[in-house]
Amino acid sequence: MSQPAVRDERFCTFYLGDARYGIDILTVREINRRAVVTPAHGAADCVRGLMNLRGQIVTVIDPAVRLGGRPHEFSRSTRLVILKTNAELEVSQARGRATSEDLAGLCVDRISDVIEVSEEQIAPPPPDRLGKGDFLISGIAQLDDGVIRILNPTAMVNLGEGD
Amino acid sequence: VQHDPQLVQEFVAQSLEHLGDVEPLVLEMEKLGTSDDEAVNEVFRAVHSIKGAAGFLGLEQTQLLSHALEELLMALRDGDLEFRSELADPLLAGIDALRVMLSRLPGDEGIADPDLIAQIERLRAGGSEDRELSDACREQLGRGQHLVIVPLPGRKRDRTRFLSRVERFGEVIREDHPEARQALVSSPLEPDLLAEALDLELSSIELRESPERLGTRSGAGGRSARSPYFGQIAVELGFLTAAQREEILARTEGTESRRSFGATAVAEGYLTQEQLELIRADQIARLADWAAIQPVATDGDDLGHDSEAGEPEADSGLLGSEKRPDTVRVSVSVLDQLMNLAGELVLGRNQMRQLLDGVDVPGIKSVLQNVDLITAELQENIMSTRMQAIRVLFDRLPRLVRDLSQSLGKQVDLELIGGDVELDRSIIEALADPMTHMLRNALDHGIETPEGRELLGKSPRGKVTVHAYHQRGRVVIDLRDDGRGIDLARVKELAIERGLLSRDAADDLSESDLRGLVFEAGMSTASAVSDVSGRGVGMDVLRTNVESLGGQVELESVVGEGTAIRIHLPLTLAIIPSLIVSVADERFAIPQVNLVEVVSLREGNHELERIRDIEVLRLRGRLLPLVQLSSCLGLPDKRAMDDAYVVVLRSGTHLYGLAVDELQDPEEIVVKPLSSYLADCGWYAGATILGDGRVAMILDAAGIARRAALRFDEVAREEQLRDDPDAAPSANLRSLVLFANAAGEHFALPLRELSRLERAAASQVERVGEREFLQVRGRTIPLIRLEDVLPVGGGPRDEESFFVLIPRAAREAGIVASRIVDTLDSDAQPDGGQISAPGLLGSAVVRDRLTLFLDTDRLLEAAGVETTA
Repeated sequence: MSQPAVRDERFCTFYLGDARYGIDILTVREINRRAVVTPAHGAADCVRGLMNLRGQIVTVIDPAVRLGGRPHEFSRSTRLVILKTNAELEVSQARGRATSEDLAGLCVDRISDVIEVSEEQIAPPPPDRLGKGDFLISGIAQLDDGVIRILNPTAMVNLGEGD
Repeated sequence: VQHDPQLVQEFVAQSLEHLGDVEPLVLEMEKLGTSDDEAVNEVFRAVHSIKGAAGFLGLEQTQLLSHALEELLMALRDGDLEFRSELADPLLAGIDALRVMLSRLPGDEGIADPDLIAQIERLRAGGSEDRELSDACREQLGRGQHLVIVPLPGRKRDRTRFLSRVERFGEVIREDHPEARQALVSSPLEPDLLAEALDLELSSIELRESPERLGTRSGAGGRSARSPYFGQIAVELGFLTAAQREEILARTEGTESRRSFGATAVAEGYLTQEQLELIRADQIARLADWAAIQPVATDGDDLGHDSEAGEPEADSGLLGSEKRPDTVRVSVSVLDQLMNLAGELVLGRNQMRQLLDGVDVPGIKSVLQNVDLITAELQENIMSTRMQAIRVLFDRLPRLVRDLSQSLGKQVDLELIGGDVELDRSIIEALADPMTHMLRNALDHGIETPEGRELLGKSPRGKVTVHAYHQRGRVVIDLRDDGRGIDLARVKELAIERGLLSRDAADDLSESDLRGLVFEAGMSTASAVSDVSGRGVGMDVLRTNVESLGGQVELESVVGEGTAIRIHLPLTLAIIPSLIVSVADERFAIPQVNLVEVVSLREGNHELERIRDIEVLRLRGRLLPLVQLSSCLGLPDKRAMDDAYVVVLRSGTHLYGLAVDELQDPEEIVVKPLSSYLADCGWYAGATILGDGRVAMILDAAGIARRAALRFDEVAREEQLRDDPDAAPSANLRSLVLFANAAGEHFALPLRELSRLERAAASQVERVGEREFLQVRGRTIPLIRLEDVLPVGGGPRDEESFFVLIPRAAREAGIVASRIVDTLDSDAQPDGGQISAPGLLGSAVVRDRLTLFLDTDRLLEAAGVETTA
């Protein structure tokens, strides 16, 4: 599958509005569909609430709000991208990556494919834009059918870092 | 070398446990001023096993310190050194330092204090009387002899015979005293061969030093379990010949820094780096296997010597293994996960039950019942794994008392009772600080100096007793001292002096109020502030800590005789009874410990007022600050205030009202800690998963009071202003619960006769013939409708839900009420002249309505309820 010289990386991709985003698949624990989210009033805006994942409580984070956009509207196509915790990453093959100590999930508008991108295809994010949320994007993958913004999972779920 | 983190964790956990186990032994030795072999051996083994594993894990500093301690202990054990009290300090300091270094793992272990090591070494050298002996030993080792400690028979004749037998196989280097129980023997034989030659169990003899400084390890029950040595593995894997191994060993012997076998082998070109890694990997695997059989990796290192104390029952290498049979170490996160899954199982069961409701499958009922039972039992069992004996906490106290009494110049005996009482481990952890506070207070303020005590005719040694016991489903920890006690008059003066109270207000205080003052911030009766305690924060912190655990603190004191502080605690924090309330269709849980009472504003009996801009609720003459949960959380106000419910909450000593839209049923909830995302938002104490699988936030009573900035002081001042001394309450005043039956007639029951109040759905009622039953907390109780027993009106029995009042009586039953009208204080006395019936005390007018007063015991008797055994 992978060529020896260039490292391929796999990303789980999804849509926020019309824009397509990707996140390193090794940091993803599972994709959840029928989520019932209990709002957590008084928390940061991007914290949309808590959900029950088979007895564990997941904090739902709104990536759209993190990126400076409008809050996610929950609908039938809403999916939750549940990330592995740091402890889970530590015991998986994904050592060296970091997310959060707590179980967190991202609410996204629509889930898309898992793609395989070689390192060469990923460009650094354009440095000239300094809009809110830029530090959350670690790179831009140029594909035949468009552009995928690669999210930095660590920055995504660690609030108060860099913003 | 990258070590398996789990292995490191295991090592840390076990080492800390061992240190915890041996600390009391050192304290005991210090107290007695002498050491017994058993205790020294046990301390030695703990330190020795830490040293061994530290060497294996490459923790040089830990190894260095444990080595120094080990040498000192060895000198004690072998009688080279006599135990003196001065030795306790460096031993304890060493144990502490090891603890600190271990707790830093898996990070950097830190640096072992060189001064401490030097001190330990000095003490050891000072005691070891004969250098000649060690010279002799060295010489023996030089000649390729093994140095072995063998036990000696007790009877003199046997001993002589035994020693002559020993002489055939080696040389007795030293036989300490005429009554010595062991001798140091040098022999060309390997220890296992020597054991065979002397007809001894291998486990009873001990290798002190050998030319290889490694060799066989004495194993359990004489079966020699070979620990995974580096050199041996290298030979087994065919990387080295036995001769090469000897050569490398000889080289490591000479180096001052005790370089490891592996490092030497690579440096000297015997092994390549790759081979080294392979051997290490193999060693780790073997060590893990080996540790699984023999839970403590005592040595298993390619340096350090390999000795094992010769007590047959302790020869497996696990310190005190005989005390803890059949246990497995399980990480708390696994238990938490099990707990989660059990909770999920309950949800699954509930959903299944709902789906199957009305579906007629033969036999399904008994299957469901069985699933119910198993689920409940499973949850209970998992809960019990979270329990830990309070001994864990008690074990720290002797040390604390020793250190404190030394620094305070006092003499104190500590008595600990009830170490087996079990509590949730999270409570035990949270209790550590409060306990320390209490002990400090007792020693600093309570117990007098020895001279002072003698003047008072007391024994110069003070006494502190800590007693844990169960009482009514809770755990009580009672800490009492026989010190000077707390002078309540002095407390009162101080409170006035410090402006906490006006003199008039102080004079009105009852004795128990005065005792409560001790817990106020800014109170301390110690005449001097010491570095131990006495800044007047201890008791205040104590109370806050205990209350945050859902407990209470009580204080009793007699001047000149002593003080007792009693802490009442729930058994667990993980499952708590709580009331579910809702605001704007969102549900929240309120822990029962914070809940004082519930008031309906709809009934119009309670007045809402404003004091300047503060909203207050007038409740039985008291003014309580009132806050709406919806406005706290920025939710829309669904209801007008006068249509809401108010839950009266306790935050510390203050009460306040929290207005909510709806009350739902009480639930036993499993508390889940807040994620970091919500930890500092202030409104919540945790989260929980409700019966329908949805998450609800648990409200934090103290947090809400703080975040809503409730002005308790202003409200209290207003309350004082309004206090009219003429309106003194009548002596007959008592709290009544007023409720109505289906026909709307009013009934009254004294609140103190009520055990619980439940809400039940009609669908929960089970019928057997004419009688109705309800499951309440796992018990089935009969329901009583007043119209069936008393000459009162009945109504349609089609309410979807109703209230059940369960009296505190010998007969267990629930009285059905369709509505709770109010709870109020009243001095109304029932008059039996107008209306009388068995089960009625009589009638009186309460709040302008004729109200029937129930005689619960007679009523239940008349209803045919039998007394419970």
